[in-house]
Amino acid sequence: MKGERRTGPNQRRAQESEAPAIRTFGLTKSYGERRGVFDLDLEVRCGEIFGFLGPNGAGKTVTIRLLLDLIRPQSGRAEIFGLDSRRDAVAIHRLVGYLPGELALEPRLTGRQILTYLGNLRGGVEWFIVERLADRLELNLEQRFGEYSRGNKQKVGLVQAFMHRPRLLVLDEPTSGLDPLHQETVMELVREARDDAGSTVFFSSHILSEVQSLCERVGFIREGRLVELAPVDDLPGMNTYTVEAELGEALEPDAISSIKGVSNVTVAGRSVTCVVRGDMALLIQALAAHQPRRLVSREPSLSEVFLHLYGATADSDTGAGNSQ
Amino acid sequence: MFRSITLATFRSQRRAAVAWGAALAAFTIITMWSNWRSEYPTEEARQRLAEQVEGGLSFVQVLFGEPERVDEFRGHLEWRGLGLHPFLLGLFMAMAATAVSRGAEERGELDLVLTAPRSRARLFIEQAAGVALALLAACALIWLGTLVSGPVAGEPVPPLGVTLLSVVNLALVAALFGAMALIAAQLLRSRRTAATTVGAILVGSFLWSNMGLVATSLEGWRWLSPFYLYSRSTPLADGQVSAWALALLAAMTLASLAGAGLLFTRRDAGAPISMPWPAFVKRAPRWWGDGGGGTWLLGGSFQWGVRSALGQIAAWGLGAALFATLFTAVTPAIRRGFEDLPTGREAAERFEFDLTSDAGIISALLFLVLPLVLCLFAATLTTVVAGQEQSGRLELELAYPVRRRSYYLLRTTAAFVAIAVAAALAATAFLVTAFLMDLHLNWERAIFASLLLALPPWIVVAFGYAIAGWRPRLVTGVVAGALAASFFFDLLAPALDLPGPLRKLSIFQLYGQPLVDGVRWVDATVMLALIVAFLGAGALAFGRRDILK
Repeated sequence: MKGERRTGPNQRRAQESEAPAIRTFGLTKSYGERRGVFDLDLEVRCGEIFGFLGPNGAGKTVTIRLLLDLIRPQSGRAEIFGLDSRRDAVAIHRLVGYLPGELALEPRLTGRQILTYLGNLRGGVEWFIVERLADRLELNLEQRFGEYSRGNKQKVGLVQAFMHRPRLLVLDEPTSGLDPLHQETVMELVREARDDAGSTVFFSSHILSEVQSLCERVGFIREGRLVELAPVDDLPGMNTYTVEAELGEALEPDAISSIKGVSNVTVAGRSVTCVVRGDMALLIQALAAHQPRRLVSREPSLSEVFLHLYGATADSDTGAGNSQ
Repeated sequence: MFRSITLATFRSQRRAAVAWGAALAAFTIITMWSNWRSEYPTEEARQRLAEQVEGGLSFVQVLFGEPERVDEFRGHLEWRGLGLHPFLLGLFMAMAATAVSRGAEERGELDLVLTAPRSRARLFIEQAAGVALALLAACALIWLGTLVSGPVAGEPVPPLGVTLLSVVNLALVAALFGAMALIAAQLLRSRRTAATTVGAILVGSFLWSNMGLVATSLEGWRWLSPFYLYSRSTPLADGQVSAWALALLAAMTLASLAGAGLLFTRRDAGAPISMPWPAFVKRAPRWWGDGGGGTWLLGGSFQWGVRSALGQIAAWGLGAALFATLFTAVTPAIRRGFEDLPTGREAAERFEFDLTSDAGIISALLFLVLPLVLCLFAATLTTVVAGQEQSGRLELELAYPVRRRSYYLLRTTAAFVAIAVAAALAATAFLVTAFLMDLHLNWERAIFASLLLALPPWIVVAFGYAIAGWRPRLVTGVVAGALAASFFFDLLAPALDLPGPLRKLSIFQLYGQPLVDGVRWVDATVMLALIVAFLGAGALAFGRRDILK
C-alpha cells in the first residue's frame, strides 16, 4: 500500500484542537415533513462512545451523511474536531473511519482486493492491522464480496473502518447481520479503540442493549429532531426490566408487589409477570422461595423507552429488547 | 401490474421497450420521409439508386443488408427503413434479457422470488414471457412506424399483412438473441459480461451476414449467421416469405430458451452454472476482469477505473479491430466494383463521399462505423458509473480522504484511457491491414484519422459523466437519446441539405472525414473544447450535490 500521507494544516489544527469531536449547529436537511433532520444541535466529546438512537427513518443516517459531507444541509452546519464539515471534508475524512448502514462494494472483488483498494485510497494503512482485524473477526479475505454472507460483508466494512486507527469512528448499526459472538468482538474493538487509541465513537443503533453496554451518553432522535441527550443510566425507563417467572407453587401477588421497585404484578396460576426498576436481588429472593422453574428478564425495548420519554405510544416497529 | 412474474418483468422493461420501439419507429418514418420523398423523389433517381446499390455502392449493404426492389416504396422501406432494425432490436433484447435474469440476481431479487410457491421452470417461463411482452410492445410501435411512413413519404399506407410479416421476421431474429442472452446469463457471473458477450456475437453475426453480400469469399458462409435466415424473407419488397427460415428462427429461439431454462433450474441461485473445466484451466491464474487474486491496478480511483473496464476494453476493442481488419481487407474489391459503375462520381457527390479511392471508401464506411462503435462503448461506460452510484457504491469511497472533484476527474480519465486503448486497437488493425494490403492512402492523414478516432467517444464520456455528475438516474436515457440523435442527424444532414454550422451539432459531423479531407483543426478544437466544458460542468455539479444512497 502507499506510504502515509503528509499531515495537512487542517489535520494538524484538528489534532491540536480541544474542540469537541462532533458539534452541530441547527443542522437541517429536509426530505419533506418529518423526514430528514431538523435544527439538530449536538455535541460529542472527544474520547467518548456516544450512542445515537432512534427508530427506523428517524434521521440517524441522514445525520451521519451530513457529518461526512455526503449530503449538504439546507441550513446549519457541523464541525468535526473543529473542522467545518463542508469546507474541510477531506481533512475530516482522514480522521474518520466510517461504516455505512448499507454497505455496497464491488461484488467481483475479493475482500483482500477491496481492502487493498480502500487502503490505497486512504494511504498510511498498515496491512498487518488489516490482517489482525480480519483474524479477530474470522473473515476470509480470499472470497469475492458478492459471495460473502451478510455478516461477512459487514465484517469487511468493519475492517475498513478500523484499519487506519481513526480518531473518530462513525458506525451506523455496526453489529447488523453479525452473530452474537462477533457482535461481542465488535464491542471489544470499539472499547479498545476508545481505551488504547483514544478514539471517539459515534455509534448509531436501534438496539438498546449494545448502546447501554458501550456508551456513556446517548442521543435520541425521532422524526428528525433530537428529543433526549443524556448519560445512558439517566434515561427514563433504562433500568426497568420486565420479569416473567414460572414457579413450582402458586404465589400471592402481595408477596412481591410490596418489594421496593416492583410494580405491575400479574399472577396467572403459577406464572408471574412484573416490572422491576433498580436492584432485582429482593425480587429474586422472593421468587426463589416458590421453586422457580423458568425466569426471564427482558430489558425495555426502544418503544418502551420512548414511552417513558414521551408518555405516548411510539412506533411499534422500533426494535425489540433482548431477552437475558 | 405485480399480479404475476410476467407482468412484473414486463413492467421492469416497459420504459426501455417503449423508448426503443418509439426510436426505431421514428427512425423508419424520418428515413422514409428524407430518403424517399426528398432524396429520391423521381422514378429515374430511384432506378439509379437501385443500380448503384447493386453495383458500385454495394458496400452500403454491409449496413443495411441485401437490397430488394429498392426503387419501389415497399422495397425501399424494408431495406433502408428497417435495414438496421434487426441489429438494434437484437441489442435491446440482449440488454433486456440479461437485465431480468442476471441483473435481478445481482440486485438480490432472485432469492426472494425463488421462495415464492412456484417452480423454477415456471418462474423462468414467466420471466421469458415478460421479456417477450416487452419485445411485442417495441414491435407494435415499429409496426405503427412502418404504416405511418407511407403517408409521410407521400405513398399509400403499406398493406397491413405484409408489414406485419416483416415485423414478425424482425421480432423472431431479435427474440433469438434474447434467448441467447438468457443462456449467457446462466453461464456468466455478471450481467455486464453476459450482455457484452451476446452484444459481441450480435455485432459479429450482423457483419458476417452482410459482409458476405460484398465479399465473395464470405458469401458461401453467410448461413452461419442468424441474420442470413432473417434476410431470406422480404415480405414488404416482393412478398417473399421463407417459411422454413422463419420456422428455423423460431425453433432456434425455442431451443435456446429450453437450454437456458434447463440451466436455470439446475444451477445455484446467485452463481453461474459450474462448468466442467479441466484441472489446468482451474489452476491457471485469472487475470481477466476482476476476479483474479491479484491486487494490481488497485492503487486508487484511476487505476480501479481502468481495471474495472478491462473486460469491456477487450471486448469492444477487439471487436472494432476485427471489423477494421475485415473491412480494410475487402476495400480494394469494393473500389474495383465501384470503378466499373459509370454513375459512380455522381453518386459519390450525392453521398458527399469520394468513393473512387481506397481512402474515400474507408472514410465513407469504416470511419463512419468505428466512431459509432466506440461511442457505444463510451455510452456503456457512462451507464456503469451512474449505476455504481445508484447502487450505493460511492457512499464509502467518498467518505475517504479524496476530493470529490478529483475523484470525478480521475474516474473520467480512466474512462478516457479505456476508450483510447480500444480506439488504438481498432486503429492499429486498420493501419496494419492497410499497409499489408498496400492500399493507396495518405499515411499522414490515416494516422491523424486514427488518432482523432478517440475524440467523439471522449465527448460521449465527458457528456455522460457530466449528466452522471448532475442526475445519475438520467444517464442511460439522455446519453442513448443524444447519441442516437447525433448519429441520425449525421446520416440525414446531406439529405436535409442543412447549412454547415448546423450540421456541426452532430459529433460525427465534427469528426468529419480526416482520411480524405485532412484534419479540420477548428472542428478538432471544438471537440476538445466540448470535452473540457462537459468535464468542468460535471465536476462542478458532482462537487455540489448530494450523493445517492
